[in-house]
Amino acid sequence: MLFHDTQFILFFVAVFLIYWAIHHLRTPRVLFLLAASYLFYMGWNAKYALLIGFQTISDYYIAYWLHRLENQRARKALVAASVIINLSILSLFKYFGFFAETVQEIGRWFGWEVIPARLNVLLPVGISFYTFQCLSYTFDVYYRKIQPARNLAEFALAIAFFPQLVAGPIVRGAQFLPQLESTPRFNLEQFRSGLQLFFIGLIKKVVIADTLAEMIVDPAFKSPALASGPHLLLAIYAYAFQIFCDFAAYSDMAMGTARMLGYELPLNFNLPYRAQDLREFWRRWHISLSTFLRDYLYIPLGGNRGNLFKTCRNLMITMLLGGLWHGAAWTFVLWGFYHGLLLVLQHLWDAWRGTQPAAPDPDENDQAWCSSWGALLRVGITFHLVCLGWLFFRAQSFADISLILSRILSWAPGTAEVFIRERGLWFMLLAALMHFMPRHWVRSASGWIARRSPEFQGAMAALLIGLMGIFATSNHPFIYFQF
Amino acid sequence: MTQLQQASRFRFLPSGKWVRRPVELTPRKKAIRYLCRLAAAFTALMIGSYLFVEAAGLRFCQPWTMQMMHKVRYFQTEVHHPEVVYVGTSQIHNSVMPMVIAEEAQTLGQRIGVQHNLAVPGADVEISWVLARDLLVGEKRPRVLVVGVFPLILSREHRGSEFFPRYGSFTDVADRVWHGEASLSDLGMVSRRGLENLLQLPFYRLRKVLPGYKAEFLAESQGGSWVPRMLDQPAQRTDEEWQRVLTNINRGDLSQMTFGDDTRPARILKQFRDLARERGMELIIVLPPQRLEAAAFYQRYHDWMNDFCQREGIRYLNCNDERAYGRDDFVDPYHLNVRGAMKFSRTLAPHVLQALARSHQADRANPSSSAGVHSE
Repeated sequence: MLFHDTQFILFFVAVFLIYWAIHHLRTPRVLFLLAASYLFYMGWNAKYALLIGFQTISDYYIAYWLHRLENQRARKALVAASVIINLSILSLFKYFGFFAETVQEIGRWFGWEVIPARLNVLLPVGISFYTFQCLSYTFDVYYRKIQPARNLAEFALAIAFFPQLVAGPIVRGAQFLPQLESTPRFNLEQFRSGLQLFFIGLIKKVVIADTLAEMIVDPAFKSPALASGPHLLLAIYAYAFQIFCDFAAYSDMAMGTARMLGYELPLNFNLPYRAQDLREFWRRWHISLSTFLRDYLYIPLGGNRGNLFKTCRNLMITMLLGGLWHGAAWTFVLWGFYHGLLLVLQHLWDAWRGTQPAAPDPDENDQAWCSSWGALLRVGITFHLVCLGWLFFRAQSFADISLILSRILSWAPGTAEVFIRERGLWFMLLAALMHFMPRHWVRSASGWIARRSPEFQGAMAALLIGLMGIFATSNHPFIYFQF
Repeated sequence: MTQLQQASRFRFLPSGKWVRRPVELTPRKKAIRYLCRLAAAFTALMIGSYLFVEAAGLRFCQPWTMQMMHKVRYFQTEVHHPEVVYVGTSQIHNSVMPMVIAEEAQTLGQRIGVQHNLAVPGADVEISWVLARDLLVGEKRPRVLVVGVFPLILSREHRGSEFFPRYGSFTDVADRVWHGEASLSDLGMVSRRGLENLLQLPFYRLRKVLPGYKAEFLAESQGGSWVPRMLDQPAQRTDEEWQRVLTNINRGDLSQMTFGDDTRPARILKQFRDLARERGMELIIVLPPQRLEAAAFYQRYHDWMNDFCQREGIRYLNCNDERAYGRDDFVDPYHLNVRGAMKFSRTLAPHVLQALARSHQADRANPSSSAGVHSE
């Protein structure tokens, strides 16, 4: 079930009506949402729901004992058990094939014929997300940042809550569990804003991301040898907007869906291409993952508390693992390495200049990115550096990366088979406009819609769905489902 | 004020008017009322547009994405005095190569003027009919109209297939959903069909061609355009999967496009015949080649079509020849690859030439009938 499927809409309408009918009863409410979430997941694969169930139960009881025990060694052993269980499952399903192929490849270099064992299993959708959620809960209980969940059902709901189950954001226990404490009240304003957010996500996904994929990105990356240099260059820029619109769309829809049910999920994207440097980019891009990596990997490794070398090492390890989290392929590791390298260089530059790295607050000034020519230049440079990273992220192999780069640099002509469809350019422009327009425009548009009558809003929703049907190319799954 | 007056929902004003008392709704009632009004407006627009489009016969642009609309637009603006127009499904879109037909005609010592492949992937015979009715008028009227027909097979193995909701009525699709033969997404697709058609109406009527699209229109209008793109795609279904699909046919639980004298396709074919007579076009109905696993099914379709066309005075050409096409000529069970498409186009050429000769003969016999419409 995809968020932009009719099936999901009908599923959600049913869940919404039943949920608000029983919302005042705590246990039935939680159990109902839990059942709906598992049903949602089982729509993809029923067997893998057992996997989530297993990870949930194991982490619930580990956290339960972590909270009760005082013995530090025993507590450390329990955390280690949680890490081993969760990462073993993740490695088995996501990385086993990758490790096996790597071993085979290394063997081939030495002239050995290694035939590794193969696991013919599907990658469970959302495994990276819910595994990290389980881990963050255990860590938070270990560090005594939060109280453990009141019961298994509530914890299971926090992990499997269907809006964020398959593609994030990575919601921490501290962000979700307290929301279960109070009885939600239906709030019309909240509902309207949730619905609006859902529609914004739908437009980003169906109209922009899928069209960019179909018109510009996929043809170029599928046959880079046939695409022209300019097309490949444009495809990288288009991919930057495609992946943003695709992933941000999922987050918007997840937030909108949850908001309509009375829950708030954390913001996952904050207009990342307005960032003036790489550090700010990672404060705006996939915020739930970057904060997870910062809090549970970078800081425990020592963060920036040690000398310059240790800080750079920690940065690099964090980004390499962040890259690997995205996918089981060396291209993702390269992408992580590239970002790690850029962050290290930025850190070294700051150290050389003797400036303390400021922590830019993305919300501080909406128009900071275009407040001066210098700021605009920094935004431009950061955007291009990020785009180069997207090439490593999107390309199928190292050979493709070098082919694409060489074709772009030589401005190679393409064949008639692969060409840019002009409509894609208009949608790229639309994506850029949506990204860089002032926030208050969005706020006033949304306020204007909210002030209209329900009939007007209903008709607008119908028209939007109709328009999406026209512009929809084909039913692409969300990119981040593969992670 | 009496108790009755107090309890009343209306208030009597000194001016002599009765007005409704303002009612303060509870937040719960407010929310329910808001949701009901929202849902009612949404549903009303969906249902209203669906019924309007069905009643007004505006279901012409249903199966197309904008890309396909450009193909139509190209025909409207760039093609003048066509001699041959091909309409039909993806089989025709993909497999009729006008340039190959022209080459073949040259080798036969004849010449064919402007040809245009107007076939649209996913278009059933009704859509082809609407296209022909709306577009082939005035100077766009060709001498020869070739209509490709295709008996769609939609079985349970095609769950989620986007085809059926394009053709079936809302109740048909709802019935299939009820019996587990279609998904809820199909129901969503058929529900928004009316609105989509209405929203596409301005694009359909738009006469301007954006320059950047021309190359694409031309590629799309010359047939065979799918073929290179499909070559590097893995087959959509493995042979085993197809076998499962075909087994379903034998079990009789498939949902296929119905054919028979009282069915909608038959009515539309008759409308095609009348249209061709009225506008002085030579009509050829073509059954393009299919892969041969479902030979019995296609034979049944062919038998009916052959019989029907003979009775109705329509020229019918069965190109589904198992001796001429092998597995190597297909990219999937329904679509030819480059080799197959060229073979099919060459097969079609003599029949098109014969139809053209008949048209010229008719013109000579009755010069006023074409009255400067056809190019000479």
